[in-house]
Amino acid sequence: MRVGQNPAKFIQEVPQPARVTVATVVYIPLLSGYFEQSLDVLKICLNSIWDHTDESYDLMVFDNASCPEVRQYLLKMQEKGKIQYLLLSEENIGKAGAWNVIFGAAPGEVIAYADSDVYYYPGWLTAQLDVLEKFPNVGMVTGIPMWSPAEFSTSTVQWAVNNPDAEIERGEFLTWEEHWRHARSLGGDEQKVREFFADVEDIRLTYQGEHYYVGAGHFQFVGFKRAFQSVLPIPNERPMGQVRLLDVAINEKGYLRLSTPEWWVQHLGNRLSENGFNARGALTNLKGRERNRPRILHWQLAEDFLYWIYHRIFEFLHR
Amino acid sequence: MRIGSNPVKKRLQAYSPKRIGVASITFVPFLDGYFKEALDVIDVHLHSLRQTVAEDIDLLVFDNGSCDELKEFLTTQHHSGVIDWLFLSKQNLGKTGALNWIFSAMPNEFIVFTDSDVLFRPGWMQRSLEIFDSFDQVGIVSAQPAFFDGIPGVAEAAKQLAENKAVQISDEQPDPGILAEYCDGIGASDDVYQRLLQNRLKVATNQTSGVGAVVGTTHMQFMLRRELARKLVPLPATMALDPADDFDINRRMEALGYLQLSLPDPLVYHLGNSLKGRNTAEVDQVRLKGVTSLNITDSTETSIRRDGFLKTLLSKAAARSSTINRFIQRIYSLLFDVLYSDSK
Repeated sequence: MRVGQNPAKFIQEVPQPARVTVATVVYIPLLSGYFEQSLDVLKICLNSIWDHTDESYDLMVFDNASCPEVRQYLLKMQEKGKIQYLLLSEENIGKAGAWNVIFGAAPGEVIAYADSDVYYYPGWLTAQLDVLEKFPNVGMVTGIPMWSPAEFSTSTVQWAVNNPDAEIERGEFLTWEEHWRHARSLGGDEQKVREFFADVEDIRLTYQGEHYYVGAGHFQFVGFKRAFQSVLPIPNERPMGQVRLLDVAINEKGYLRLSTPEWWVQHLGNRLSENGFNARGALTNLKGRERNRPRILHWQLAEDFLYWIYHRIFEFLHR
Repeated sequence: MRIGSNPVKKRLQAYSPKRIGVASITFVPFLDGYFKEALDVIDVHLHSLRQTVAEDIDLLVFDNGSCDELKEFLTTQHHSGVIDWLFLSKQNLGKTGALNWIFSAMPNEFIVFTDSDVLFRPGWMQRSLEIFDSFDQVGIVSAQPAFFDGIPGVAEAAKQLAENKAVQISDEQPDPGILAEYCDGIGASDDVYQRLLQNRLKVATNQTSGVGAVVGTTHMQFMLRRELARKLVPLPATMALDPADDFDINRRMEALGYLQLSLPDPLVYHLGNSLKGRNTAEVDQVRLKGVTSLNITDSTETSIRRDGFLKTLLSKAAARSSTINRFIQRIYSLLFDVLYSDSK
């Protein structure tokens, strides 16, 4: 039975959300193997948001069934008031599933999404918001100079072709260092990346005297919530690997996809020690990887077998 | 940099939402005064819900800026599997602010909203779904008869139903016992009870199936389809708990031409802020059943069928022994180092 009046009825005002919701999805099921340094990476990622975001924002963290150590850390940060919205999921609902939730419900007018292994440099949000507001109908703005497949940005090119104030150029605009900096963080093999780099051409858009790259990445982007909501739900049959569908849908809806000529963020990956990256934002090592393959892996059958065991153990630990 | 490939990629099947998602909003700023029994009330609320669902559900608890004790309680419930999704907001966004979130984000075909002081009784889910199947253009269904008059859209709904020849509309006096229980739950005075007793409930009956529904709905618990939920947002969210904000749900539903209905039987009950009162025996029954009847984790038999005997045995051993778990993680780590050593 109810005794007395609920005091919540007398709270006259509730806080209104910030214009920007900065959102990230975390999935660290264990702290070994691939994920050994993932908690440290997460801490660097969140610290860089707290230290380097120069606009008002709310931080939303979607935890996609991480291990207890990670949850404890997130709960502690929420308790300290550093995370405004924390969503803990009992099961991994997939990255696209988490996006469906975030894009559907983020209270801000603008969503700044990044994976939880991204470092933010000072001024990143202002710089990306500037791009968002400079162009009409922008879907996604990524904060690094990057190449991305042209077929996912046909609307951007079309808009530029139809706009006398915009100019489209094709050629080699990204330097090798710029290309390698991101490709290396993704674990790319230097030789293969060099071959790829030699093969592809960049698409550069010039508008109001500024250069931008056509295309955006889905590891980090800023966009209006209305654009993301217009493409929901994103199909979600697998935990990862279907994120490209966001790029496709945003392009098909006619939204622009752009990336900045400056480095406002840095993809860290799962290892800091080999990253050549220090938390102050400096890249200290851009050398290629040294080949040091154990003898046992020279036999294909043995390698396949070890991979099989490795994946079975992960599945076991995940469950 | 990235070393190795994320083991999740293309390996694990992603989660697919259950047909029905239930969302409960909590707000307990401290455990004193009005909120003295809040932990017990929410415990009974969650357990009664889990004990009475007819099929597996996704349960979201949206905590609207509660005190640390409640957050700890909810985190424990989440850890033990009672709660599937736990949303923790640092500040109170208001009830409609939380509803905006719930209506926009829940991926389930049917979304059930409930206050966190509602007791669920067996059959509430099946009977609510039955209403969706028995009438056209059903928007929202509460599992308790709506006694209050003046809810926007109710008169129009009755009119709309009366035009359907397959539906019979009758005026019925509220059951005094059910009404008394309802008034007790919301702390209504005797005057309010007497006034509501004079009201006539409009009851719609599908003449083919015999399924009956009271015209009108409540804000403390209801079920609606996801498609409709998405159309209702954003709701204005100015105060923490303002019934006037709640009525926007009814107004929007009315504008969209949907029916607002409720069950003739009280299959949910408003506990209020105290477990004392006329339903203590029922509450004790819920507590007695406890977690054993929740059916929230796979039984051993299901696990063996799914994973095989050896894997189930290993899982159980790893769950019980941190040494075994650490050993398995160590092997995993070693294999990772061997397989990706050329990436370092």
